[in-house]
Amino acid sequence: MHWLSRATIFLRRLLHRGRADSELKEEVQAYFETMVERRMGHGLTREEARRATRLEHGDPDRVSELVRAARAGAWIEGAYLDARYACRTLRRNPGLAAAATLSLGLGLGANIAIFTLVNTVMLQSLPVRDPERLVFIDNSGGKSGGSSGPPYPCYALLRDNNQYFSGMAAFKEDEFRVTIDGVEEKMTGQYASGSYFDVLGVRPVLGRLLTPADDSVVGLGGPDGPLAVISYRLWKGRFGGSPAVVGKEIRVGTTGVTIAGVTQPGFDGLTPGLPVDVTIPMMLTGNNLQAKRLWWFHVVGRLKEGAPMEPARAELDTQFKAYMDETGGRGNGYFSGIVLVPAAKGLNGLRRKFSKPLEIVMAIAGLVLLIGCANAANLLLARASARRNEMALRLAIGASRARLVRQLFTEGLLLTGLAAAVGVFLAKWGVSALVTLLAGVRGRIVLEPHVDWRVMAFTVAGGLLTSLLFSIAPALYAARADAARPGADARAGDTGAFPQRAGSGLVVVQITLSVVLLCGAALFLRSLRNLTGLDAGFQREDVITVLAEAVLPRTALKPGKETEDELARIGRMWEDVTAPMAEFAAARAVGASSLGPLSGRDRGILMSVSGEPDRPELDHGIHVNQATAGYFDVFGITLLAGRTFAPADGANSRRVAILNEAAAQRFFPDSNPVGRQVSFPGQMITEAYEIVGVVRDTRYETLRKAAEPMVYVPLQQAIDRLSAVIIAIRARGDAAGLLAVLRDRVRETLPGGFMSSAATLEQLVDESLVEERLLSVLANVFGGLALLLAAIGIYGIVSFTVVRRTREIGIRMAIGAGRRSVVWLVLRQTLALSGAGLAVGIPLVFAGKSYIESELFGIQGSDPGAIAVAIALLMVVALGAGSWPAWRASRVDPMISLRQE
Amino acid sequence: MAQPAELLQGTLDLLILRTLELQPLHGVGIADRIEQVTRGVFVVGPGSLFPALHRLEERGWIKGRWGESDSGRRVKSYALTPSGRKQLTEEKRNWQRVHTAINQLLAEEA
Repeated sequence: MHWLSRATIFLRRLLHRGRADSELKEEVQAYFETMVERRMGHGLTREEARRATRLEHGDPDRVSELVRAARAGAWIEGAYLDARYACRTLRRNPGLAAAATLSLGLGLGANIAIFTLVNTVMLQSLPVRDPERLVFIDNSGGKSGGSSGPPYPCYALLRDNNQYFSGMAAFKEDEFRVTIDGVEEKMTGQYASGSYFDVLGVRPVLGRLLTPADDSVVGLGGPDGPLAVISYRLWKGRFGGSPAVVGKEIRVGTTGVTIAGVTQPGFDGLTPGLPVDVTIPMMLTGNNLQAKRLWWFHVVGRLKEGAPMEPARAELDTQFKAYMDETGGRGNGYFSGIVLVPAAKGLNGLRRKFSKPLEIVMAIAGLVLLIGCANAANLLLARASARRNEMALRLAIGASRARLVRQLFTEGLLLTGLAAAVGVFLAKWGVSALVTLLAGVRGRIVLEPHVDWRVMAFTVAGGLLTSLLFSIAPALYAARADAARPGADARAGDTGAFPQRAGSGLVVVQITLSVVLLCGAALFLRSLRNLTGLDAGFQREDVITVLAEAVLPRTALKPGKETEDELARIGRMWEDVTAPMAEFAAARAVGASSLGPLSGRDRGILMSVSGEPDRPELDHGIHVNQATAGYFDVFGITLLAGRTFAPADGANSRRVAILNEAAAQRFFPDSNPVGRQVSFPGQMITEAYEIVGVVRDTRYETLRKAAEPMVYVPLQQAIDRLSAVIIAIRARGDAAGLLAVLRDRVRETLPGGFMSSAATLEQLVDESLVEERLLSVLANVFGGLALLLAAIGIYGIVSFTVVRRTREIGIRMAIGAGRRSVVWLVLRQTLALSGAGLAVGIPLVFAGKSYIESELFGIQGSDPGAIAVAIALLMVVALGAGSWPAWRASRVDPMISLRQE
Repeated sequence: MAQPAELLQGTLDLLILRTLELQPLHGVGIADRIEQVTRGVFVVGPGSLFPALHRLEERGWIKGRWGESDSGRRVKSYALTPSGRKQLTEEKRNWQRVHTAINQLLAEEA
């Protein structure tokens, strides 16, 4: 009951603060009055009695204060008073409050926005059951870079013969052409084994999810026919959340499937940035399932409770190696063993790509916040010196120093609260800007950041740390206030020595951090320029690329005449679609190919040189591009030796191939490759190809990555069954018209023809530079912000000095100093501050260069040009900020300044 | 008059509760009564009296009520609550224990 009665009293007091206070006063007053009357009874006058009572019992207000301090929740009351006082102080200085709030808000907002992104990409675990027990079962092959699970027969073997896993699932993400109510659209989908949802522990919100039974019959699925599971996102967005969606027929490609259920909200598949909307059974992929040497999907497994990693890996590894020996796939350096990769956060492609850039951006945002803190500290310090009198007075009437410091921290906290509100608002906007920046032109990376406990904890911790940081200087200053001399500093003399020194220190910190940020900004900008201006081996002007797809029969192919004919027929089919496009006046060149620069498509095979002893040290891996002759014209790829493809290189003529320089150097280091024969073991075409030419290297995957060996073969002599090609057109004039014609041709002449992903090559280049642009844009925006804050800091401190030294300047001028020397006097301070900042900042740039060098292209982390630009920019801004107070100083009238005393 | 003694920590609560056991009193009355009964050994100033009163009220051991003093002044007088009575018994017993213990200690020394 105690706590209850106390709580009621406390609450009542909070609610009726005024009344409780006046009652207390009255009660104490009554006591004192009684005492006074008693003394008057002894013959004293009222005045004498009052004085005597006070001498004996002290001041009534003091007694009331003691009672208040003894009460429960006194500190809350104190905090409330502090906060109210702080509000009042801020309201009295709206300009200062706004400036401080804005500098902190920008810093906090930047940090919250970027942390939200970091959280989404790097920290959040998948919304599945016990994500930490999930592992990807990958092959370890140093050379292949990317990783994937084993071929399907091997997966089935591992799945059925292990003791450490409670389940394994296979999945393959793909772009699906989904037809809903007669409308065809492209979306991200996946093939998944029947165990997928069970292994992950994903639940349906509607209907049911796939089970192993639904994934048991090749080409059909299960007893209920082909089923599909759709994402919550698609259900809400495309079907309006209708429960009637279960049982609905849709088409994926040409296969009709029935929607069985909807997954739980938030579950987007296992690849961050690539949300999966439609999942259909693995069995619908057809004959890929039997291919013993095809690596085409990922495997995720759930370890049993407490199962150790290494024995689990070793158990799978042994079986995997046996399988590879049996199928003859071992020893080429690509698929050498099994590794288990933690899967709690999903496939790591996005994390690998963005971890370093995000880290750098986070560091940049941190620096901006520090600069903002320095700014706010400086503003508060300037005000604290104006409030020195108030502080001294409060000390004199009995406030403790701790109490004053607490008051200042409360003010700091209040400012940070305001700034955090501004920051959260800015962050919301910033996050969507960042998401758009990352998504690129074609929305390749889809992120849906949401605020979770980590973001909230980060915001709160960031805010607290911030307010602590920028309140320290003013608090220290307040603690030095002199109770004995309230009003002392109304006289000039010792005014502001402390704020002056502390303020200068803060400005030096600002300049230091700014110069670091500016150097970073200059470096990232140059790096981006280097990449966009890079000669990648292909021309990017006026080129449009599209992806054209057709539906091909899913028959099993075996090496032989039939297969050769079939592949040739498909190659011709693509040529028939594209070649007539060249007739249009607007088209300068037209090409079709299986791969294209920056298209994100890749195909790697092994190549061996005929008539040559095997060189075991040679890496036989090579990329293969199956292209028309026009391909080289569209992209302006220079021929270095021999010839390119000709119309005569058809299905029934001699098979020919072209190498790029890298391939020529790797496979024919000392000889001329033209005229030599090569073949592609393990592929459906076993015949040899004669090398007829060598072309210049072009960068394919990214602009950063140097060209890798590549072999080109004519489309009609393709080695793959190409159900999709990239059509590239070099257009002059009406590109949109050409695309419309092409779209119709693809749709009308091809079975299941579909065209998508239209983009200019320049757009693809831009998109491939997402990381670089992220860094460059943010480094420059934040660098500019830092410069602005530093300029405000310099202006503030220099103006303050000028005011302090007005008298001195007046005397100097009175005894003959010229205006110029006065200006110099003031600018010297600016130069000294900047010099100090640079002296610390430049070594920091050198110290930090190795940290960012991996993100730079074609420029050193300590590039003198970039550093010089940063220094020059900083000096210009610093002198600009200092020149206004300098000019004002030179206008000082000696007479007026001396009379001020 | 004897020199006022230092109050032992926590003794003031006991003194106040004991004083209020007989009848409700206001601030001055409590101070007077304590001084009177202890023959001036304990003089409770307002700086300790009022914080103690409010603390005891918060704990629910006493309850204040506004009324009139003998001289017709509006004063707040305090009365013991049932839980205050219980607390007083408790404190009395405690005090007896301490008192006995200290006496024994002193007797041994002598």
